[in-house]
Amino acid sequence: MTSGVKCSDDVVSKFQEIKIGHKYKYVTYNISDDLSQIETESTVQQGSWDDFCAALPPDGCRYAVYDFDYELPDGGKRNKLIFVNWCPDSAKIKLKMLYATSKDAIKKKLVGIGNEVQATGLDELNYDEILEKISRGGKN
Amino acid sequence: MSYSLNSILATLPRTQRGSPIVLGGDPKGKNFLYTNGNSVIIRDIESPEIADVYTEHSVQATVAKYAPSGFYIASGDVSGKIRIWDTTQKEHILKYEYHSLGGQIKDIAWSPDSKRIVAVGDGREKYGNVFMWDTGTTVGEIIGHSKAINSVDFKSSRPFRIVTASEDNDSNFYEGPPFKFKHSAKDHGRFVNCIRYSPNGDRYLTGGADGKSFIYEGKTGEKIAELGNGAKSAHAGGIYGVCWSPDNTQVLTVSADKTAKIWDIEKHQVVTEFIMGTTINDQQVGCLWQGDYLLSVSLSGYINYLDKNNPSTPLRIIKGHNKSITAMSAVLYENKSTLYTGSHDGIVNHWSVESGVAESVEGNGHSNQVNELASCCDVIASIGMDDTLKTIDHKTNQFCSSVALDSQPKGVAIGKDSLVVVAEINGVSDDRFL
Repeated sequence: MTSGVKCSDDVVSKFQEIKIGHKYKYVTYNISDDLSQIETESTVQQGSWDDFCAALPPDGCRYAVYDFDYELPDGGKRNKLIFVNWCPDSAKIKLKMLYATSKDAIKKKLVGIGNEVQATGLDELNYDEILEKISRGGKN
Repeated sequence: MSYSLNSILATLPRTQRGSPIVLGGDPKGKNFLYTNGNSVIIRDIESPEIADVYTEHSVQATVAKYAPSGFYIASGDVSGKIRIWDTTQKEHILKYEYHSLGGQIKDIAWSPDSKRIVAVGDGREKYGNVFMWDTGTTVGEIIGHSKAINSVDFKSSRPFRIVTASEDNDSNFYEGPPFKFKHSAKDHGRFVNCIRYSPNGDRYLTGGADGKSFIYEGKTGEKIAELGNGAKSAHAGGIYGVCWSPDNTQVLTVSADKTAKIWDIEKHQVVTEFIMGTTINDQQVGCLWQGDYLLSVSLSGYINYLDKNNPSTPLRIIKGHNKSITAMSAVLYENKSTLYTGSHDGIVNHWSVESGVAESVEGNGHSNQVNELASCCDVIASIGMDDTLKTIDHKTNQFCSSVALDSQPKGVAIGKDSLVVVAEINGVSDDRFL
């Protein structure tokens, strides 16, 4: 099911920059106020996972792409792009529905996402859990 | 006694209602390409009786395009494979094979230097792939579409550009190499079916299922105008194919409203309108403008040679079957050999063996698969899954009589004095036609 919300060109351009140039640490996207299209909300060049979590609004939904760096137990460095679908419980139901139905519109445009994380609260964005999930290599 | 291949009576393009088909042009202007089933058909544009068939795809082939050098053809299939093969020799030796996408390939374009190929279509994650023809290394990313891509084209001059047309109603613009998403155009309200650069690369044109067509600047991708100047849609039905004239001044658009139109590219107005008919089978699903030839493919698979000077009647129409042939019978009458063939959609054609030209048998024909054809002198008997026995008069090539049978016929034989015997699943019956 799709909501008919379109994706602005900027969304793909910013993703391209984070994917190819590693220009940003993370990019957050939101649906515009008139609920017509997905736009880039912010791009951040430096920041830790905790900074990223803190940037997510407690009562608003967001999509985000985070450039996740991690080390394997044997010391090898890895890097993956993760797609975060942030829908806190306290957000308005209408907004949550809209973000859920528009997810395909943005995610299908962003080729090369290593992993997707869905979160309804900060406890689901625990660094260690996500690290484990990513290093498992599974796609869920 | 040994046998050798004399000629091929080629099939028509496989068409599907609602989807565009791609005709591949020849840089030398001699042949054109299309696909049906697992085969790629190479046909001479001047004398279409001359045809060659490439049958190496293991699943349904969907598109074939000549390299601008003319030495190779790249063809794609529903499994996402691309085969690049030689055109200069009869054996069509395979040069390279790549698994390019996760789903059906819908269109292929070569770069003007014949070094890079972009393939688009359906897939799980990505809908397009641009790669070097000899190594398969990707040289950019075709991203930014959220549904299958219907059509793609390469700018024919430097700096290189790629444009794509997708089912998410957008057409995207990529700069490169390496090719990167630049921007998208959201002018269409429905699927964008076809996108083509002009031969000199100055402009490109889109055609959409909303009947609209837009002209864009070739180097920057900025919109210039809409065909018909926006007063009303360019066509009353969806546009399935667009093609430029070799001199860059005109374009041909073909549509499901059963018309084809030639437009002046400066004035954005219709120059010539071709009305192709009134039935669903007269919807136009693909086109090619090569040299002096204007080709348009009907939903029935017929290839129409359009005549600019006489828009009401095509110069010639290539007929034949576009579904599998299930029955065949030859007639030698008054020293002329004629071949009758029936296909599983109920169509019966007669072919002149000498010239290879097909015409359909008119009249009250079968509504379902033709099971068998049998002939004696100048009468041909045909049985079909619609449980009828029909006869065809060889002189007029029309169905002349029809008999309803009790059960499904399996075999038919015809003897002297038009005695016809039919084997049905419940027994044998005979009839005499006078």
